[in-house]
Amino acid sequence: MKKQQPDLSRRSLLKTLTVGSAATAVVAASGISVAHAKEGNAVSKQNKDGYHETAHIRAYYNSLRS
Amino acid sequence: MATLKFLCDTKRCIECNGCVTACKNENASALEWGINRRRVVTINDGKQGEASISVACMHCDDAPCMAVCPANCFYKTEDGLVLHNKDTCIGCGYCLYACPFGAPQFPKSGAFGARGKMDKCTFCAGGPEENHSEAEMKKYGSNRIAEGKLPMCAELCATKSLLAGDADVVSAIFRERVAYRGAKNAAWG
Repeated sequence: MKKQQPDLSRRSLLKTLTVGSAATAVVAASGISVAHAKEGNAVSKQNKDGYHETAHIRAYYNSLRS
Repeated sequence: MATLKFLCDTKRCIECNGCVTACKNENASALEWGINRRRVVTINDGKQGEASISVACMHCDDAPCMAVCPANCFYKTEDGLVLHNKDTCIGCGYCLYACPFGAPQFPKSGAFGARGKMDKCTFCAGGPEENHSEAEMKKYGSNRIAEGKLPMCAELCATKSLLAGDADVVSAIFRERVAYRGAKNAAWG
């Protein structure tokens, strides 16, 4: 009697799907960390280049008083 | 740390719309067809007691747009400016319903019902992109704050009606004006 062999192609498909979803999760996680890093940059940018009273701005304030 | 604010002196506003034009010109790279970040509203037009006020985003302390945004695209800078990230905006329009000033604007050139990314006054402070980068210019317009300047609308106001800058300085200047006028009801309306 011929022994029935399992269909390995179906199992390999499942394996591929598992590996694929794990890879997607890793990519997504790295994407989130990149996004957080980007937000962090935005905040630091504001710290560095936010409002600061310059001669130009002082001249503007003086023009409002006239 | 300064808190940046706009204040419109309605006694001086002559409804010239110079602020609207200045804003449009300064931020032309970011503004799609039909979008005006600033507008002038006139009440009692042609009647006694007529008054005009220039309105845009007021960069609220407790901003309702920020509270209702489901995509969390708004953020507040250390200078008190309410800015947003167009990459995360989903164009739902909740911010427009929540804003008491009607500041959020949506492109009008697309298909009917398609809002697209929200656009609003940035106090000429750009967005989350790198300062003066091409992406920032394209999405948010100019970044005059990083240059040590103030918004173009206020700096170009011919009658010095639209004040912008550090809230303490702006309110002190307005108080001086009211004291100088010395009349009853000299502040508003």
